[in-house]
Amino acid sequence: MAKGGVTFKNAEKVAAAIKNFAKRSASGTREGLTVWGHETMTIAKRDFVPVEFGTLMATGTVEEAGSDSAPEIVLSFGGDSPAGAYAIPVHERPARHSKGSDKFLQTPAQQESKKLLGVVGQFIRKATGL
Amino acid sequence: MTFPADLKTLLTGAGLSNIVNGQLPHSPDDVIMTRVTGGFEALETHDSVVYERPTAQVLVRASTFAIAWSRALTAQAALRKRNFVVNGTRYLSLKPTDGLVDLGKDSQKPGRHEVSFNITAVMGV
Repeated sequence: MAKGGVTFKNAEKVAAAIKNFAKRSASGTREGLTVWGHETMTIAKRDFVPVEFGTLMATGTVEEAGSDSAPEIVLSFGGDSPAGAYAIPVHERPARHSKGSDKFLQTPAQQESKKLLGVVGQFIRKATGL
Repeated sequence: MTFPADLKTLLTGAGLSNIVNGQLPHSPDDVIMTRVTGGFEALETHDSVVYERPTAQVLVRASTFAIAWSRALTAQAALRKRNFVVNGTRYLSLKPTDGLVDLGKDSQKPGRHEVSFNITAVMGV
């Protein structure tokens, strides 16, 4: 009677390689997100944030968040500083400013989102050696 | 029809009135402003069908905070829909992308209360 079946050799090595690849891929993703976040924040501060005394502009931060396997990036203005109280109204309320505009974070983030996959992909390739 | 006109149709259908697009008028006190705020890159499929992904802001102004908040809640509910047609345009989805934000009073005396939220649409072309 004929017998069939598939035998995997070095299954532990393959599993370890996949795990290592996933880890390096996530690391590349985090690095790419961070670079994209800083680029976007730079554009927001340079071209979009209303500036009178520079208080709001100085509060712009880029923070890494999420987990090792699911990295995230958080761009924000205001935070816990005195500017925190007016950062959201200035962002959301339609108004004319001598320099800058409302939607000073949303607009550059949307514009730069076109580059996001490309930047992250570049860092994943670098991290995984693909 | 255009995206702002579609939003106005949906808001009107929810019983809301005094809806303007683009800029907040000086009067009346109670008004809902929609404005298109750009959007994300359109999605393309293998057969070149494109899905536009515009974003918009909805700002509700009223003489009291309670009225502004209540109308904003109604507007937010009216703009959370999936797979529907309005004014001949098919939408795959329309949803708020953040919660209601109290912007405080405007610069008028007495100040009028403003509440805002943002939405993203995925619409067929």
